[in-house]
Amino acid sequence: MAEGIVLDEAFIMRAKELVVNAESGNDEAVKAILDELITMKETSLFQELGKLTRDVHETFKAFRTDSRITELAEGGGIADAKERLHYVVTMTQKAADTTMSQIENAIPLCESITSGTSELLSSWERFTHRQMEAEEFRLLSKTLKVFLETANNDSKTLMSNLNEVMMAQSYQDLTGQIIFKVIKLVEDVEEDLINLIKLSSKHMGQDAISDLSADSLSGAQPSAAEKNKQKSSLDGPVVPGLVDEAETLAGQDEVDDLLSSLGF
Amino acid sequence: MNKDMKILIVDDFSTMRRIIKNLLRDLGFTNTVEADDGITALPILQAGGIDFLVTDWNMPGMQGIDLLKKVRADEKLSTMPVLMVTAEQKREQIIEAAQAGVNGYIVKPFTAATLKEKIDKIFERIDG
Repeated sequence: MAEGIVLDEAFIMRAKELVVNAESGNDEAVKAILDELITMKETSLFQELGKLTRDVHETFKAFRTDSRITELAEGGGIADAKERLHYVVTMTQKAADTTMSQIENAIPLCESITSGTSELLSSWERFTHRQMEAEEFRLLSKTLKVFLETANNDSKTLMSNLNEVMMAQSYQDLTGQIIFKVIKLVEDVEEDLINLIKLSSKHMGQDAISDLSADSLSGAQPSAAEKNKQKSSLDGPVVPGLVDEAETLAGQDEVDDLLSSLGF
Repeated sequence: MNKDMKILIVDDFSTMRRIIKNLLRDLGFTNTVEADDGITALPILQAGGIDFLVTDWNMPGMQGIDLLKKVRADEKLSTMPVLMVTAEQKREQIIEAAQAGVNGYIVKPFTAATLKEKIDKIFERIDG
């Protein structure tokens, strides 16, 4: 702080003059020197304050103009993460709805099989204990035939209900992949923010104030998000609204068409 | 198509492995083994006895596409039929898989009918 040393020397010189004048009883001169000393001190304080204000201002300006901040806020990252998480909610909702509907369809079938078998069991007991008339047995065999036909159909429906419930669980894989992407994004944002805080604390420090402009801040190194973008080319499950339609196929049919055009 | 053939299912999500395993069982294939990525799948394949590989693409460790390339590069495994079941549906990726020598490609989410159709097609070509 070269300025400070010069200021201190001037200050000490005037202070010595103050003592000399005070001892010789020169009131006028004492008053004048005192005023001068106060002004000197105030100027130095204002200079420091001014510098601090400028640093704070520069830092905020750097934050505002830093491309990474805008990138995080607008350039896909956070907006994408919101889209992805909304889609996760939609997918889990859909899977839960499918599962519940299939179960609600299956329960009455189970109930009818249970009540049917209970009735038939008690009739069968009476038949094996020779407590049944011939006429009643003819009725029982008709009932048995109807029941077996119904149960046969119902069990097929139940099988399909269970398969639907099983297929609905594929949401776990797909939402899992989407959530992993969001976790990666959060880690990138965290890393970028830590880098920014490191850079701005350097910016606020005593050294290298002039050479750390907003430009050198933003151009310093690729952000974590950029690095990630370069590294990972896998898109994972298609999220509506986040699809590069020119490059992404709409579904199995388009995949089949592409493969058959390649000779598959 | 031999229903007793041994099938290796590779996916990092256990739910998806179970779904594929159950669908295969419905189709009559009960002889299945599982692995959670390419790194664990490769030694199983190299140990021998696997007749058909069903693999995801995006997995930690070794990805499905790299597993496919390793299978094709391995003298003993190079002719093994490989079905890819993945959420990746970018044009360039499907072309990459085709060039790497995949036998079938299914995008998630898929249906039991799609799985059956692709498996039938793969073995029609091999058997015919």
